[in-house]
Amino acid sequence: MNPFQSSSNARKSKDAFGSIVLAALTYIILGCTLFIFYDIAKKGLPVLMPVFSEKGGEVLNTDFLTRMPETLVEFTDAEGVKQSLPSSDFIEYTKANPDAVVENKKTNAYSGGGIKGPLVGTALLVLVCMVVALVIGIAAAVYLNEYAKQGRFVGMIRLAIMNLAGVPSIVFGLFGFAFFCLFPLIPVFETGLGTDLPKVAIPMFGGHLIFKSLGNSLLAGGLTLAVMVLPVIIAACEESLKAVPKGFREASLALGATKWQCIRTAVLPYATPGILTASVLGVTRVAGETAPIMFTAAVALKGKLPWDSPSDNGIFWMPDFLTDSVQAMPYHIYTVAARIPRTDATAAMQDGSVFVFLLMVMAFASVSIYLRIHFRKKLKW
Amino acid sequence: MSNSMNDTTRTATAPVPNNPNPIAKQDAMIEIDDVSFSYDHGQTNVLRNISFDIPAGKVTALIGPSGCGKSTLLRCLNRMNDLVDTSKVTNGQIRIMGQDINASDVDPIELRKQVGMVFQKYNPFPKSIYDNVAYGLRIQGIKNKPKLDEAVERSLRRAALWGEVKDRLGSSALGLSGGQQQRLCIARTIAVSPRIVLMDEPCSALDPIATARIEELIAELREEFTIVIVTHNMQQATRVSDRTAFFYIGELIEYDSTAKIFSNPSVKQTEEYITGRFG
Amino acid sequence: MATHFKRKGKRLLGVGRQDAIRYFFGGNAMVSILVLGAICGFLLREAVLFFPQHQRDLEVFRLTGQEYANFAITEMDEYTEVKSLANQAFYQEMNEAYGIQRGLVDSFGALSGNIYDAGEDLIEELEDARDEVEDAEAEGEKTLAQAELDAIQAKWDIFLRAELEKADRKTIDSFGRLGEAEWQQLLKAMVEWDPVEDEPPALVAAAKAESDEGMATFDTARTTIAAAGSELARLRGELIKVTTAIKDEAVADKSAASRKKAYLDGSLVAETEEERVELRRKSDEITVREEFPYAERIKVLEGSREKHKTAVEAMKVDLKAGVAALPTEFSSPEVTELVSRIRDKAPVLTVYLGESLMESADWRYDEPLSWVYSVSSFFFGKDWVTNSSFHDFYGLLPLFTGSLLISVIALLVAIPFSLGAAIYVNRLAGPAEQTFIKPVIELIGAIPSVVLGFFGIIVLGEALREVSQVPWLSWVPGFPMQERLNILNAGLLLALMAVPTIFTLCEDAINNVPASFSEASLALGGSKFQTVMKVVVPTAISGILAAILLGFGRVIGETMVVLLVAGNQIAIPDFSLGAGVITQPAHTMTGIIAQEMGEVTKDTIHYRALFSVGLVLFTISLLINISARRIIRRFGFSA
Repeated sequence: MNPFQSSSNARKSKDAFGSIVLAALTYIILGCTLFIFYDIAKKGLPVLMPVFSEKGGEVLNTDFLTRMPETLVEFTDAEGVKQSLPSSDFIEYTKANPDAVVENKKTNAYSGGGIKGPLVGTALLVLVCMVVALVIGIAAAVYLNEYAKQGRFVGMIRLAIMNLAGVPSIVFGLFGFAFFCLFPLIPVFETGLGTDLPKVAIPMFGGHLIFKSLGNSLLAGGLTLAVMVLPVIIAACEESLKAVPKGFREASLALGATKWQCIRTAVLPYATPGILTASVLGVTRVAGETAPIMFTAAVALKGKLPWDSPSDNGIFWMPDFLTDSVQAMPYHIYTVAARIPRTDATAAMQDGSVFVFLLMVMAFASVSIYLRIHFRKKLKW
Repeated sequence: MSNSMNDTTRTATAPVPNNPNPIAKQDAMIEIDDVSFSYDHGQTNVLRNISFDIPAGKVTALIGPSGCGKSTLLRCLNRMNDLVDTSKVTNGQIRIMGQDINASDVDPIELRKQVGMVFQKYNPFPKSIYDNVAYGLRIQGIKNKPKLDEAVERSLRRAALWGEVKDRLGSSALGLSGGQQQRLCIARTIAVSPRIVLMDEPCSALDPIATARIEELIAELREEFTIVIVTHNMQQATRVSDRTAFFYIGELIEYDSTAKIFSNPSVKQTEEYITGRFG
Repeated sequence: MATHFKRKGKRLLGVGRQDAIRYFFGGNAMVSILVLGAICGFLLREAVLFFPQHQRDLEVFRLTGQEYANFAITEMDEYTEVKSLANQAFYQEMNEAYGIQRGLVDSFGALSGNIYDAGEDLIEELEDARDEVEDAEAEGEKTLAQAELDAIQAKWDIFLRAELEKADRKTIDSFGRLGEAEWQQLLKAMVEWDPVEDEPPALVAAAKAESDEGMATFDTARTTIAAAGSELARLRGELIKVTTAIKDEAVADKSAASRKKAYLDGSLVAETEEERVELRRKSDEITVREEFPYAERIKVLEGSREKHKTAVEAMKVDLKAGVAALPTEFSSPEVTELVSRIRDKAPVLTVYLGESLMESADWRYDEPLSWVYSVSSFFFGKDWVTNSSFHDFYGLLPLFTGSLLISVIALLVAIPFSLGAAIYVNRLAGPAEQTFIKPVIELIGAIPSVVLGFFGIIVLGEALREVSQVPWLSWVPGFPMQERLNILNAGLLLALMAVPTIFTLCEDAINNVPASFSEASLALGGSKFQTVMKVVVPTAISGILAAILLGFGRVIGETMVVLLVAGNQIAIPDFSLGAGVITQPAHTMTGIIAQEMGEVTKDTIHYRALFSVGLVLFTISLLINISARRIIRRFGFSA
């Protein structure tokens, strides 16, 4: 007789049951996630690529990507057919057919045209944010990890940074609104101000140095996002700097490298993959955020792109479009989802925007996950 | 490096007198003069009043049980201890080629160009073999390709690695065996033509065959460089070194020619250590 | 050879190149630290400045007597809840006990209304014709009129039948209370309907009588309860009017000096004489007072206390009588439930009314108000009301409760899933499973919250409502749902958002359990599953706790999902519903900032109130982070 025969069937089946429950929990999460992706794709893909819709059509709806959002006009024409046109098309339509019958006219804000404005706005916001956050974040991480004396002070700073990484994004939005939008931050030299001076005005060179606030602007939004993502970037960069073996630094220094040469040639190159991953992760986080830009940068409707004749900001050294408000994908979605009643006509804009936006963010997220796994496999020393 | 010395051991070793210095001043490459060193702002000294001279063109071994301060002393010689913020030479002077290396106008970077170091754990950069050897020259601003080629070949030949790697200079250094990687690190160190090469237990991570190759290499390099080697392997000290210094808990117990130390030590503790009775 | 190792290289302004590089890095670190410090500074400044401003606001609230009016307002609010419960119960009972009867009555109303509208001209003709018959005196005249009347009557009959033929049962009997038989009965009865007299047919009249009689007790009780508030409602209206007038005057008074000056300045630069005189006159009209005469103004409230007392006492009596008169037998458990809630609430309300009355009797307009009151009425205030014509309230409690409820639901859902998944992926799943499960779960963390919110509106809200209307699920508390956007919907979406955080950290914690622990258990003959549940998970518990805490931080700080999906109703959810509370809409701390920040003016009390809410969020997230770290450090094991 086999002395190691399984003694308890009850235990075995209990184990199997437990494992199945755990597996089920796991796969329910996956199922929910995939269902959300599927549902959004099912509704949104036909808007972007009409060839997949029931009616069929062109391969890519270029209008959707290259037109600005507009008001959508719904009406019934002479034959009683329901039509919906973006307002500019509608105006042309009525011009072309002056005696066309237009009945039951109804307008839906933001629901016509395409999403060019929000796409461009989001790209600019992310660009401004990442440039600022990466320069400051990487430099700060290098300082904290390579230069600063590792005492209690640096430890406290590190702790503060880590804690700030968990602060809700809306709080950063509040701060950004108060600091970047309303607080006079930008020094401007002006002459001929007369007696009507702001609170802080430093007289110099026959004029005054005064400070202006940025208001609701691309720059304010980008900076707010940068502040939000800064703790994440600093922490991630420090981590990748720490992962570089001490031996590299010692070898480099022992060969007579200066501190900077050592960092440049023996530390940064090997921390780059980690920093890159962190930046892509940062882009993912920043692009998807709505709360911090709601009242610092974004507007619901704007007829033109940021660089098309922005309003003069009166700050001679700063490009005007930086101080102009922008449209942004997440805010656009918030507007159409929360404020526009969903009808057959308006659904296309909602579904299409959500789909394109999700696709964009998921692409970045996938790249960052891929990079991390890839580098983790590859970099071993 | 542990510096937790308890009082009983300290009193046990305290009465040992400093050895008379047997090397003539003019031959000394490195003069260590009454040096004390601390890792914690001078609260506890891990080296206490060390004095001896290291002769040029010879191999000097530093031996002693773990935590005796031999590695610390080695890292004082090219000021690698500067990397630890709280460390400090609390007393005495280290002079290399007559210059006090801790003087305010000494640039540790210039110092390290002259005093190279090979580490316990071989640490080639994850670059090509060529780039590893050329690294030190490049950071000194040498960009001339023929010059670099020549220096790389010369260093690899000197490190007895040329034959093994000459066909794959462009491949990653991490693909070499451990012993080869350590020899590559030695090649990298001697490529910048230092006067002194410090070796911190260079063979401790290697197998016996690789160790033997490194030891041969040390024997060859002694003509060109002043070598200071830390080892806890006493056979290795006898095989490679001309002179040996024995350390115990932060103090120099005995310093003499290797032959003398291992055949006829004058201090009882040295004898106990080399015969394996403690440590 | 003393020149060895000397420093080389150029120096600029006494700064070497190495130092310059060092300063560059240090400067950037400084910038980031300053900015991070500025966050705390700005939040703290605006949030702290809120409290003195709030205190002044509350002082005016008290001095103008608005605070006294507020007693009546809150009393009425509490009472109205009971009143609407009574109405709700009444109509539901009527629908259930006398559904067919009510169906007949209502359908008759709708049907006759429709037909009346359609045949209005005909009906007028009919009426005229009848009058003619009545008025006719001569015999011949009478026959003639009668003949005409008959003709019209015949026409009407045809019309009526045609209309009845056309009648759409679905729109007429919109609640679907009538069966086919009853519907046909009604149609038959309708033939007798006389549009001029507009008397309901006997069938309908009988149905009405039956239902009225059956509901009579309930109706009396309901009307008694409804009448209980009439006096207090009148008093409330009066109090609001007079105290708001005082406040408006007081507010205007504050700016009197500056307005006077503005008119005066204007008159000095006016172009015409006429204009100058006019502006001058306006300036003179404004009297600038050192202090607003609150004591004098508040006299209008004299006598209100007496009225208030009578009104409240009357309310108590009527309420008691009304509740006592409520029937005890009902036709469905829902109505029984509703009535028992009335019975539970009525004594509570009575007690509350007594307390409120006593409190209002002690109320004095000039009682000094301490900063503690300002602070406590922010943190424990039950109302958040802005842009009100009466008074703005800044009470955190409804927002905090909303945030907390949603987060708790999110966590309750997320914890089993994330922890289960973490255990499964780390210990039980094969390598192939691991390589795809982990990235997918990480991807969840990257889904923009606005997209999830959109999904919640379009898909999840609809789906939840449909599920909640399934009859055999009606035992679930809160089902069927009244609102599509509610706490549950938001909680479920946030649960998904919390999953990646909790999963990743739990997985880390489990992964950090030393292999020696599980080896020991396996060597003792434990099965793999036993080892995981009895050794690995308990060992990792501190990490798991920290993960849950950080997950909590993640959901309580989330903005867009709650803004889009939680329903945005600023009220403390009604906990008397038990677990059904989660199907109510709510508002949150993050949501309120997002919703109102865009519309406020800098430095106003509203602006600062939002910053105070922000500071509360900030503090909560810091506390969570710090305690998570503490837990890991204190109870963590050294692997």
